Amino acid sequence: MPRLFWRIHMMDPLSSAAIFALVTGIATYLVAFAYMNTKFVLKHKVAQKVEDAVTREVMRKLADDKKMGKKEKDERVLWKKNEVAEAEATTFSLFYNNALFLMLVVVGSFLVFRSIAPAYNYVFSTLGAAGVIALFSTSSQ
Amino acid sequence: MNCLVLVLAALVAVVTGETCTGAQVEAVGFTSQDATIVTKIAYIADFTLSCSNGAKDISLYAETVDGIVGVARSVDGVKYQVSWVEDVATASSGERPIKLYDEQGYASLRKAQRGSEDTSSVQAIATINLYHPGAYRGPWVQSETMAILAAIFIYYYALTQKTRLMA
Repeated sequence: MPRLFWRIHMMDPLSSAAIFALVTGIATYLVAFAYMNTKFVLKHKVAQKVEDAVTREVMRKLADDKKMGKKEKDERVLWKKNEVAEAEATTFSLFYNNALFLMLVVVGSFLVFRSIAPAYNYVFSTLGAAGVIALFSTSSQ
Repeated sequence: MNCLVLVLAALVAVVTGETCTGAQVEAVGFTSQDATIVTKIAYIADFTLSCSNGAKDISLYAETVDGIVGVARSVDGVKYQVSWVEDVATASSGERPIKLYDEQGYASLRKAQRGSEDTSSVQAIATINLYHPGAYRGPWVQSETMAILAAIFIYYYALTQKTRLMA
């Protein structure tokens, strides 16, 4: 992200190094927080949606295995379902939060804060976007 | 007495300048074609003039879009240059006629203008057509607008997917 402000808004990378490092650090923390929260909310929904498909898949694989009891088969299904939901929710969480973050930064930088000094523009648009996605990720909807 | 007439005639010739008949003009033109950082378009026409009566070093005047201006002449009297500027907003593309007048033509042109008469009856010794192909004023859509629209579209897609997932 600092590259946008270096090339387009003509911020000097050396003299702005401290602000770049600080803001990048805070934004990274907030974005990671948003990833985690969104993933947590989504995982449950994803698990419900993939349940039938995963059960069918695992049951078919274990159909020949006569020795395995029903309890163990259910455990396998549960474990597999958890794994699939985790992967899909994480991937979608990354995509969704990145899309929202990108939109907020671009709109903030080029539209809302376009006339103010580049350093403030950078801080407000980046931290604002990171803060908003962190906030939105805490909603359960 | 004869001598006096000759001197007077010479004086008149010096004051009014030589007349040029059968003028041939070789012109090279330049106009600004990048209007992204300038506010005015420059028009320059460089030309050489050759007269069938062999007249040289003639004072010329040019009637351009900008009005009547004196034509700059190189020290050796071979090359001439006319230039003017127009605002970017009014500088449309196309031909710009430059009418050239010698001293006599200039005098009759000013006379016609003072008397609010039709100036088209005054004969120019030559006309140059300076072609302006139009200037580049930057892209129709700014790249940041495209970036904003693309980012909004991506987010819209992400949001619809999320809504479907959460439904």
